[in-house]
Amino acid sequence: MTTAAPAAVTAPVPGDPPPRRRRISRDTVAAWGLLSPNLVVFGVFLFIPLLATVWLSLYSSSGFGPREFVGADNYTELFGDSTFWRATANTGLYALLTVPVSLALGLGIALAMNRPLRGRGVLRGIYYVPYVISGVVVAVAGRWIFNENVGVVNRLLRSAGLDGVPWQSDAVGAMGSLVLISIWTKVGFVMVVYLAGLQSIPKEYLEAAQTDGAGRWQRLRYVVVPLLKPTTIFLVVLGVIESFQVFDVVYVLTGGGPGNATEMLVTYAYAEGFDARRQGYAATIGVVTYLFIAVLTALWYRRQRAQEADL
Amino acid sequence: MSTAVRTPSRGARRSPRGGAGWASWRAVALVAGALVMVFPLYWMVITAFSDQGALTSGPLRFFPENPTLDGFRRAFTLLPFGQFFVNSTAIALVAMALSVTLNLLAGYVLAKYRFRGQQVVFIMIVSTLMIPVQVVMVPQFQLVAGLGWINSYWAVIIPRAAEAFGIFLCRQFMLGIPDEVLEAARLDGAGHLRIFWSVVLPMSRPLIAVLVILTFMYRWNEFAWPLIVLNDQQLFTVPIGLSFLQGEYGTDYPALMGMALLSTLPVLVVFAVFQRQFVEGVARSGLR
Amino acid sequence: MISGRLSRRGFLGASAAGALALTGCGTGFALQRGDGTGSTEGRLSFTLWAGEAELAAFRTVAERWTATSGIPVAFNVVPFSEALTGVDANLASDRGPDLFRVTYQDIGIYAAGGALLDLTDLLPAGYVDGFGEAFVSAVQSGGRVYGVPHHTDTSLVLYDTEALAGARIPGSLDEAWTWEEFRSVAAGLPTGDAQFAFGVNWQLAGAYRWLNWVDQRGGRLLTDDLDGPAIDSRAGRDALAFTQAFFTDGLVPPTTSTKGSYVDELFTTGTIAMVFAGDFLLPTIDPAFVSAGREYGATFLPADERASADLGGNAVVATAQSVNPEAAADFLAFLADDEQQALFCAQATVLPTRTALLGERLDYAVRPDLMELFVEQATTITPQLSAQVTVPQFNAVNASMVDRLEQAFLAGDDPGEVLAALAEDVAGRLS
Repeated sequence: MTTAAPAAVTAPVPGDPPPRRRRISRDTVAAWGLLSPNLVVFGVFLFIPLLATVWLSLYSSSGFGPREFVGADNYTELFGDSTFWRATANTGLYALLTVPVSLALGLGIALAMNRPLRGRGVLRGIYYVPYVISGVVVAVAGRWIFNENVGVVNRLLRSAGLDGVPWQSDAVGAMGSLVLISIWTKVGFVMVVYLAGLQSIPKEYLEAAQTDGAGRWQRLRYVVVPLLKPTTIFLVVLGVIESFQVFDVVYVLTGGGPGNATEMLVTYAYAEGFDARRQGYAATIGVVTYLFIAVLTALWYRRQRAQEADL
Repeated sequence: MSTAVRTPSRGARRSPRGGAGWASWRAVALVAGALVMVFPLYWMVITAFSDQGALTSGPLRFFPENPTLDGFRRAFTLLPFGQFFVNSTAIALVAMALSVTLNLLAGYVLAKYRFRGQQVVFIMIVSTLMIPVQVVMVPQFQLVAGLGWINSYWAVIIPRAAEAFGIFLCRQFMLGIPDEVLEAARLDGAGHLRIFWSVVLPMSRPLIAVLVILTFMYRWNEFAWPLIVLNDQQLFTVPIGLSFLQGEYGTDYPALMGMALLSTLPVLVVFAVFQRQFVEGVARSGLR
Repeated sequence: MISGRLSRRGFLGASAAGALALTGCGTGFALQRGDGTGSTEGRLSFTLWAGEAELAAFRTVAERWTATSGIPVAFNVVPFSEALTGVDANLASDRGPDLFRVTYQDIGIYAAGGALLDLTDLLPAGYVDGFGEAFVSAVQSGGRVYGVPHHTDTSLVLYDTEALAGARIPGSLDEAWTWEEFRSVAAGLPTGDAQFAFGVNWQLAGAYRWLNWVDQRGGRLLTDDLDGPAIDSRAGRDALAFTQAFFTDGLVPPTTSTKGSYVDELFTTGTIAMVFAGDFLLPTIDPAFVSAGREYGATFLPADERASADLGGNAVVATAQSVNPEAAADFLAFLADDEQQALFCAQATVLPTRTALLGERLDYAVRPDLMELFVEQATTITPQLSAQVTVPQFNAVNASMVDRLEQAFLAGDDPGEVLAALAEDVAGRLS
């Protein structure tokens, strides 16, 4: 597709074909011209700060006052820092818990929603609403609802004669509440994207499978899910990137606690930068987080390319 | 697809009754799920209309005994939330218009032009998705401060005007616009911007709906960045206001939940207005 | 479909019109709107967090100063939890405010980083002699003065009158509960589902308040010359074992560990019967009790070998980037003089730092009877402890305490091991 596209613009105009080189350069100029506002914004407000962050990671700095060049010391310290590895493991665990579950739930809802049903628009809206709420509001509401002592969830459990769950004071409980809340916010978006994917599956495929005697489950397993694979891959990549950058919800909901049970890479970087005032070290955590995400994405990209080549 | 044919035998047992059962099971499951989804919002509503004391002591009530607007009143007395809503709206609308325009331009070029360095530009743009914004916040601030933009809405809007995710969506969507249409316009003598404006844009309505919903939401909900670049209460946004309601001196849950709910209404309105085209827009953005 | 499109068009139209109208108003869309919080000539910019009563008092004082000096003071009020993020970003960009509010624990890092204005020669001669010794040492670094001790606060044990009906309530410092007595009072209180005896205010930035227990036992966090850890000691281990048992015995809610949630909320909701709380919380706690028709009282912190209380409160500092150093120093001297401090403390229910005000009965806005006890407790803030919690690296040390204490409180780690690890952290932070 990509190779076919430029033909439209670079196609020779009949009658007066200008020399090829000039034609290319004119389109190239137009392309860069149209891209330039974006490139300026990205360049000035993301790449320069990113380079500044890489540079800062070589220094010991409180953010103000004199800074001291320390070479790779921050990186050496990072690799021996058990909190950093705990944050890495937590971030990975968070991704492993939220991404598959929200995908499975979102797909299930999309499948159920993909047929005529009274009130479907309202239901779709209800599932989608949590996605549009800001992370800060979600976390504040989460803190209130999952409050271990006076929250409605534990009060409900207790009035049912059960024990309250230690959502705040226990490592598993805290991660659990974080994951539940995150799934709550993500599932609506996943649903919409899968709905879109489902609508682009040609009906004939399903009918053909049905004629062949494939049951509901088999049609799902062998027709729908494989055809949705590009959608799934997209959602997985997006979900992993989001998970590795998770901040607002964690910062407000658990603050990384109890202990370091829900400390994530970015919350740890923030705490080091603005609480401990070790901006150089915080930059180091940020750079390594960026590299983690880049490597994960590159691995996915290569795998996808390899699979496309197999087809 | 050939795999589907491999195990045909078991599906044949399906009965017509099974179909009806499935339909009602499906409806029940969807409604039950929706109840779970809506409960936290419901509880926020209940909290907003309750008296703080009644929420935590006494028996658990699913409807406040004496509904009250005191929480809202306290929030509006403590801080000029009306002003904050106006500010947030102004920022989100302008930022949205700017971002959507830039997204569409970049997506169009990346999908429909071929030029040296194209692949590199695309990868660079996508790679910005991976930058954790909290980590680059201080150097970003230094830049914006150097430009003298601190305490103006442009400090909130411009640094976030280019959005990799939006550009990605636009590129995917526009790959699906037939080349023949563009070629025809070009033969008619239309220039680059003319083609973009009168051919590409009208074909991109569903895409624009997606971009409007997403960028409005991103800008409306942003917290940390506006907080550090806006230093004047006259200019504060709603999320900044919310953070004043939870502090060192205890949290006023009715006021906080009331304002939190109000703060999500504009995003919901935008979603409601554009949602018809949303699914189509996502579908055609190549996320399939 | 048609209506859908119409409403969309209507929406876009309305948006554009709205945006234009707002742009017309010009408020936030004008570039170069002055310098925000940056220091500029002709006015003082002051970044602070503040509760309602505090802000009103700050404004009153500033108006008085402006009336004589002719220089306006521009306030930039920020949320408490992100208070210093913006200050840091501004300092890093050479556009720090003239003045900002800072805790005694955080002042050291700014002074050490050269971010603060040296007030030693700018304040009137002998000015700092008017403050209590502990407070002066808190705003000094290397013998230079970097701020004015604006006010202090400290903790008492607040109790629900009904729950503590049968217990002996100490009425003076000399009669304060011993550790063991406190423990047995607490253990005698009813506990159950979501019902606990008490909570301690050592969360997050307040982790340093745990050092009260160490100091009461005669121990220290840092060595006498403040350049190394001394916490891995008999007294330290005793204090940690004693406080750890609050959690293992179920006397305090497990959510109230050092990374947990603030305890005053749990007291007003009735989850805990006693709370360790600072005086500045009275304006929040009092109305909650009054509206619920409940009563509460206050008594002194438990004591062991000696009584000891936490150095709370805030200083106000000027930045080295200020272009108005004389005006800034003049404002600070005014802000913390006898009269203005008395006004601020009375309105915001916090404690004075000026020696002249210690014996005076201020006109406190809330529960003046309890404020008297806070004042009395504040006399047990020892200069030794204050010096330890105001070393330049204390904010990083405090962050370590948050992590390490949580290991003892929630994971139940052995006090000796936890303190050995804390000592190692502290040594690293100080170096």
